[in-house]
Amino acid sequence: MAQTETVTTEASVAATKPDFIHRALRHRAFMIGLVLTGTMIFLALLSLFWTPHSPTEIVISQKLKPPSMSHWFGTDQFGRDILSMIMAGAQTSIVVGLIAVSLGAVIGVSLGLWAAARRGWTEDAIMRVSDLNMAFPVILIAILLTAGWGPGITNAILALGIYNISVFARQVRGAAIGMWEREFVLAARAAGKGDVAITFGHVLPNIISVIVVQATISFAIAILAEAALSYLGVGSQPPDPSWGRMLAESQKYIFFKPVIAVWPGLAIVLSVLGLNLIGDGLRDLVDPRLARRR
Amino acid sequence: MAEIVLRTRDLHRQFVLPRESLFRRPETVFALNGVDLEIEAGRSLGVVGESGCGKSTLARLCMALDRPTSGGIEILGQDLNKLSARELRRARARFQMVFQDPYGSLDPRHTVRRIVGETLDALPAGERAAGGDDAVAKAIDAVGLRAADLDKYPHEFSGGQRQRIAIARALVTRPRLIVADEPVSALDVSVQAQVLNLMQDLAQEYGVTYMLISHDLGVVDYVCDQVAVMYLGRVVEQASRTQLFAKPAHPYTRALFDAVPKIGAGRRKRPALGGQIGSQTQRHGGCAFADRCTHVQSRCREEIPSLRKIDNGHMASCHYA
Repeated sequence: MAQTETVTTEASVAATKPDFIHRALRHRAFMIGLVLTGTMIFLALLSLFWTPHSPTEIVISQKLKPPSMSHWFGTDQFGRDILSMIMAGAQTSIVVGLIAVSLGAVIGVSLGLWAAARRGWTEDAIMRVSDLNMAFPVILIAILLTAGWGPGITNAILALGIYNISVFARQVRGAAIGMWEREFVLAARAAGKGDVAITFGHVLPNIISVIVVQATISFAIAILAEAALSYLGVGSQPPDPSWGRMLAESQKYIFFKPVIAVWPGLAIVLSVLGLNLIGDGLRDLVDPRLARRR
Repeated sequence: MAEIVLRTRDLHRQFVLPRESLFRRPETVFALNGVDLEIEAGRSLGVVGESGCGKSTLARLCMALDRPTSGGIEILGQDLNKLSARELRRARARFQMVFQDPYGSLDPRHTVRRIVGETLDALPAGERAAGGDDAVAKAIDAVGLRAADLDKYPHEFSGGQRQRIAIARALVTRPRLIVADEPVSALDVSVQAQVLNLMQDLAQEYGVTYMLISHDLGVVDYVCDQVAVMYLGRVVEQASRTQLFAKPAHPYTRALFDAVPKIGAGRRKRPALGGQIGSQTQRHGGCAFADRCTHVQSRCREEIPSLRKIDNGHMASCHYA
């Protein structure tokens, strides 16, 4: 018994704050993810005030230039500066990801918590509707919305948000049910706390890490999906810069100017990788059992 | 006649298992099959029995964490079934619970202050004892922790200290009854005695009566005045501690005593209880213990023995006790 005691104490201590930072610094994948994502956010913020050239200005005389001192990443078929477009494109990706994930998280987490607190037919109803929603891929939802309201970034965000509702609802329901079975919840009930008070006082605070991890991973998926939707033409519309559309437009030149396709491709890969590394890293860092081994 | 803090009347609780086949009726677990108990103020009751005998179900019913299939529970004369949700919340201040696992029963993200104050917090506004924070500090002091501990988190404490926190939480509303479900079985033996001593001291100081659930006869002997022995959802013997320990009447109780390892008993072979604990999904025609009893007669298999008085304040449900 004494042994179990020390082990549990160690594990919980590992979850405290200064130690968390210390372990985060030593988690290589997490730090790489942080640098990649940090760069992306920095570029997006910078592009709000300054880009090397205008990302939308067409200079036909400068078209399809290779990388040079004035155009670090070269220019595209309209003579636009690719680096500027990548920077401005990061904005689009972040805005889409942020709104879509927040939308999905707020509604999905609420539904998941509700399902776990109520159980019975409320849970069944929520989960079956969520199954139905999950049966429709993001692309299909986006195309349906586009058919109804025309193409545009708003519909892409909405499609991703709707899809994310199910993702969060499932994840949160599972984690919350686990919490509801813990003895401290029983103790709270014995104290006379109601379902709402227990949900916000005990269940939510204990599953917040699950939600944060899911949010980073969903963010990465949203960036990828936004690129895919824009590539298909149902996402952001010209002249708004978007990595997905840059990729689609560079397709025609893939055989004699492949470098144009490489830049947006690289931007997508690195930002998605960065967010995934953060997500995986957080999952390791918030798990006290893994903490001991590291 | 002392006040009755807890009375259960013919308490039954059945659980329906998930359906295994579309064509078969789902099975039912008979967890409690008619439990009648009374706890007088100041006479703590120990409930003993092996795992699966319904001890914990009984505790949950008494704490109104679950509803009985039939039968009633009165706490300090109030019938729990008849209380509205609001009245029940208010009544909860009078009966509290201490759980088995001091690691699982304290929310790792709350400070001690918040954990102990939770019961006060849950009371309807206006019912809250004046100076809630004061009450929390007093409770923490009463269980032997320091005021400096109030802002710490559960993981900073040892198992014994955590169980003290759990006791403080139960104590803070000044309840008359505390149901303790295996309160020391998760603790080191050396710490068990400390916690039990504390519980005894508090009983005196705060006028608390315990319903202590345990599989450990030693623990019950230490804290309780009355003992009830349960087997398969029924009380098979009930007596004062002295009577029960001096003259156990029911064969199951005697088997329990024989099973306690004693220092100095050497290699004496203990008569282990033969057979399996009876099925909980079937109703028994005769005595539930008949299959394992060493003194079984044909009558035992036909007629359910009732809990009858065999001595002053000593009840047993055996035809031959």
